[in-house]
Amino acid sequence: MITTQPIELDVRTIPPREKHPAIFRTFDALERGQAFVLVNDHDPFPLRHQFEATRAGQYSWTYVQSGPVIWRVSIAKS
Amino acid sequence: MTRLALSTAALPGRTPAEVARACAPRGLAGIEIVLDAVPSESTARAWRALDVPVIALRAETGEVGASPELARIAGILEAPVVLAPDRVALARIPALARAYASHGATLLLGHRTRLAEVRRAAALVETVGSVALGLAWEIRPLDDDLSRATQLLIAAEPHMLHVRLHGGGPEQRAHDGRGVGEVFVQLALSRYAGAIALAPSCDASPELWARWAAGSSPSGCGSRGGALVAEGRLELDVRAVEPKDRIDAVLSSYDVVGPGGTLGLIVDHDPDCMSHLLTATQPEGSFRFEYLERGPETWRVDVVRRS
Repeated sequence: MITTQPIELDVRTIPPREKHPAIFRTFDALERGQAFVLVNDHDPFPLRHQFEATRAGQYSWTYVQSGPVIWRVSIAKS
Repeated sequence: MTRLALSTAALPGRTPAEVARACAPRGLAGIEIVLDAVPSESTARAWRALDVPVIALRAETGEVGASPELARIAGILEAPVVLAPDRVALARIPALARAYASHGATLLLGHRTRLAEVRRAAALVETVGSVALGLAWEIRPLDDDLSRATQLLIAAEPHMLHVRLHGGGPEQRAHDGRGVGEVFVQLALSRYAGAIALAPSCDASPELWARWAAGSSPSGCGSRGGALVAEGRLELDVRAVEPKDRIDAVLSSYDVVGPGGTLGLIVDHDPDCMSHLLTATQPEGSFRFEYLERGPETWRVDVVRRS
């Protein structure tokens, strides 16, 4: 059986100035219907508003894990 | 699922069991053990029972790395062995690969961010044709040119099974603008599912990593609340606050300045996201965002609260 690994971006390893550009670069590289899992050490809810401001209607946002140490959000391109 | 791991190199003087316990505050999923000798079988069995799994054994010296006995230990531990770059002659690798294969273990050839080095190692892996052999990328953002990371990944695929980031953790701000973000974007898009081990850079202080591993902010200078610089004006140097604590720091400072006050933010990235943070949490029209400086390294904004 062939299993496809999910696309996972752990931004805990990415320096502050490069975090958000890296997240949007990953999202923009997705095909429609694809998703990636964002891993972070805090709730990235402000980012959701940034998605809403710049990519409204193009994404979906699903919490896979909500703290208290690690947050995982599946962000899909619709 | 990728796993972020802590190298024992980050906490010198501590045992693997202590390093494994230190993973919890940061949500780290495993440890990399740097070996100065081939461990005994009983040690390896003890390591199997740590709080988090051993995701790799790192052989720093040629003597340890070239030991066939280490292949047996790796098989017991069910963790790959990573050879530090340039420690073991490539001519010895095919025989070592057979030893690893016989124990169901994996040997990963460490390489730096150098295309020629990666191509040579990948060619060797292909030639030997053993599932016991793979590649491990050692990223040193302060020394390496990361602009060719995409070609490097293409050359290494599908053999790349381990990544070691020298820095990261409490040192990541020193890497801003070096291209680390793009490296991890490319790793993500290539569906990299191996481990990412965090290790200190050469000039990092052990205290810095010890504090970070304990879960506290690397600056530790109590700047989270901001400083009152004039009546009605608070300044918060967000650069000194760890990313995970920044939302709380901005929101609590915003509360402290109160209506009619001004919160000056100094940030090491575009604070656009902080405008979104306040939009998300405050009543509509209750603040104004005024940019005073726009990068490329430092951003300054005044958040002016309506009276």
